[in-house]
Amino acid sequence: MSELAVDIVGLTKAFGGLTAVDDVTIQVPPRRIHGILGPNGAGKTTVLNMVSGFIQADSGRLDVLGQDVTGMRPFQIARRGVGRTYQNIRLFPGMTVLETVVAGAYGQRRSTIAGALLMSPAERRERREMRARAADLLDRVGCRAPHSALAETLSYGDQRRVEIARALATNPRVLLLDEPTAGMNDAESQEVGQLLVELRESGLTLILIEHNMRLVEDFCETVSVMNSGALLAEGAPTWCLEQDKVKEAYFGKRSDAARIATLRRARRGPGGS
Amino acid sequence: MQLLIQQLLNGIALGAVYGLFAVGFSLILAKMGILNVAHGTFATWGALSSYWLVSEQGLSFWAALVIGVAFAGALGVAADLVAFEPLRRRNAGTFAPIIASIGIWIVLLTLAEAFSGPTATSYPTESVPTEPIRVGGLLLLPAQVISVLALVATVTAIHLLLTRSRFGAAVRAVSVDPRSATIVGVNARRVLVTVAFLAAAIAGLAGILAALSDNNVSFGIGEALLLKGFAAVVVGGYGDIRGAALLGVAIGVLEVMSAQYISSGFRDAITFGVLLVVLVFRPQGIFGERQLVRA
Amino acid sequence: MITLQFAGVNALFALAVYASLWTGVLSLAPVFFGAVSAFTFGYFAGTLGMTPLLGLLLGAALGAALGAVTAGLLIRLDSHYLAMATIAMVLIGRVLILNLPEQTGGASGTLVPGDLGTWAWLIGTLLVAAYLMARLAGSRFGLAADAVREDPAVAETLAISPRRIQFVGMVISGVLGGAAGILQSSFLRYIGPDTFYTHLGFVTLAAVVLGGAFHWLGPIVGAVVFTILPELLREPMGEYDRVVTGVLLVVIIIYMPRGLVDVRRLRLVRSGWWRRDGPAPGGPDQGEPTAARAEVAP
Repeated sequence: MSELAVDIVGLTKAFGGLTAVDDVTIQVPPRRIHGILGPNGAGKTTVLNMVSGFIQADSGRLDVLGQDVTGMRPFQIARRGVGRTYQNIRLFPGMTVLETVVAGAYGQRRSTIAGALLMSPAERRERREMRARAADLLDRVGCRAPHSALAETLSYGDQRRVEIARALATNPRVLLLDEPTAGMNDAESQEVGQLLVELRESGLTLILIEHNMRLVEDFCETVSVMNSGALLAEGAPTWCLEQDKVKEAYFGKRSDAARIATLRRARRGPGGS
Repeated sequence: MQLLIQQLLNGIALGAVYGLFAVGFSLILAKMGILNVAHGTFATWGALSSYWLVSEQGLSFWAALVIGVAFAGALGVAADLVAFEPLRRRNAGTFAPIIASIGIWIVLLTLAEAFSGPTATSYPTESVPTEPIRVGGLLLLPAQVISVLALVATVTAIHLLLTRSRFGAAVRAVSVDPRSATIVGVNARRVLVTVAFLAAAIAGLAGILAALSDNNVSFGIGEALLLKGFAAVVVGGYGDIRGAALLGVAIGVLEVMSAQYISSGFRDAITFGVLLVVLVFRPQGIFGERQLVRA
Repeated sequence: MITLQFAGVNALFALAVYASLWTGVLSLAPVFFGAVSAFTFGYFAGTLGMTPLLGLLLGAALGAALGAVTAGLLIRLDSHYLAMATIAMVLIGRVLILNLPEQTGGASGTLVPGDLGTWAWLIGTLLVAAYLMARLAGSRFGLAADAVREDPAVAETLAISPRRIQFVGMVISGVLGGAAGILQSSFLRYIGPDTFYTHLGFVTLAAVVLGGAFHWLGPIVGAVVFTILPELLREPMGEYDRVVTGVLLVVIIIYMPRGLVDVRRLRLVRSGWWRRDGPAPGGPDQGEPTAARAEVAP
């Protein structure tokens, strides 16, 4: 039996009278790159927020790596191997690039208050290791900014990379990426795509919200398309984008192949969802 | 039985002052999202200014009451203009307004101490109504009657204002999101300043009535009220001024009853015990909604 | 000289406030912790005769226990209520002292041995406290505390439990507050219901806000400024000297929200970022970094 990495069944969330996510089921097997697509306001980020425990679902069930995490606090879900990034980058003000990533390693560290106060050999060793590991992660995500710079002063692309490195520092087995290439140019987006493949090779399951259709078609194996909170289609990206109801969701009734082509060319998607 | 009813009435009268203070405190917390710890000093200054007008300027108590209430309201507006508005404009987060209000507390408390001197005084006896009212075997002091009437009138007026008037709708809009409120044509500044004035003016009224009931004008009035007002808001629950008013009265009754039947030393301890229990087990208060900070 | 000694004690109290503010909790509880440890010390020192070191350790331990209880009961409250609840603790402390005359001397207060009221003990304690805070700064706890203060929701997705971090912060706050209470009482030799009251809380908070709540040096610098400043103002201002404290508090929180010791600004200056015109390279409409999120705390 192949266990699912992420098993979302019938997840529903309403804000006031508005149903943001309506009975959505998404099942992602391990070592898969899965995309969540849909126009702005489709409820994609809300799904991600529920998987990471940011917000609680009204109903439905959520399993991660074979464990039921429904109703758990975000830190408990994070401890079970879920890492994430944010659509509107959320780095800690005042922290350097390296500190930001080391802060992400909190759950990986064993040092205690007493050890820190006495500066025990174990504490020294761990601090050294953590800095080395953070530097490795920053290399891996392709962040070339100086490690002593304030994270918030980096370029948009590098801020996104630092966020990915921070999430990776938690040593996740499932990584949720909310528009990882927003604000990046073509070459940078392709680099991120390559990174996704490398991460998948190392055993991670990746779920990303993405507006860059070329990236989706090149790197996602499966996608779920959402519209107004409901699931519209799921399957291979090319197949999904051919579906009439998907075209309708993006362009209204007048669907034609030329519009799809436009969509595929639309690589920059700084908008929200 | 007679004693019980008499003490119940005394408790309600004492609690009316607490409730009054709590209404203003809750108004500024719920509608403006500011925990204003300087609120107690507005009460102190309401009492001090009216005392000064009566004893030094020879005004009648009622004229002094009106001016004292207006003066406290003006202090509230000043605090908003000087401290809270700049922070609001800078979108400064949760703690900054609390810290700023502590700054205002220090300033107004120090000035109050300097103004009143260390010794407590009271309104000149001939200037205030003191003739007790006898109903059956019960004794009611004018200050007690005034306190209860003031609470009922204030709560009714503020509640109607908030729920039935155009102004109330504007307050709700601004308390949810000042920016969108401005877009739909609400003058957010004017709404905020008005709420600040009302809240502080009510505090001033509570201060004056506390001084009248206690027969004691001193710079410490505000601190005592702050604690009771906070307890009433916490226990009553955030968001509805009626809850705060009701719990203020309940705290007053509880205090008088425990002083009478348990021990006067335990009077405050019991209030704080209730406060702690509610904070720990039901932080949203008895009638409260869950959420405190506006989105 | 005496003023400087009180600056040192205030610095300890300020470090105690800083310890919980570091984790995103605004708390005046250290003043209450100090009161309890000081009156306990006064009570036992009178009857048992206690060595100075034992007294100091007792104060710290008692503070830690109180911090743990306070955190256990109150840490889940919304930050507004939590702040107000700790202010209420200070106000209630005075009521307790007045109502327990057997133990505290009530309104007339109590005498405390002055063995610890020396420069050596003060500097020693302050050095130890500063050393501990500095050690914690880059530690696992320290980075987690920074993260929780700046953005608790994001910190949670890094497997950090904010409440646990805030619990630890409150315990550290208790240790420092308890020790500070013992030293304060030893310097004064007499403590009463107003010794650990709002005024001490005000000065302490003002110190943290002025010095900055983002580095352990901040509260110490702030405490020195706020203890000496009123002394200098006593001549020209008379009884109004505290007004300056209040005004400064408002002015600082509006115009210098991160205080004097602002690590972030130092880092910005060092990386030369502030010199650049316009947005950071490649960054679309980043705006000034001080704009929105940066100022959520203190």
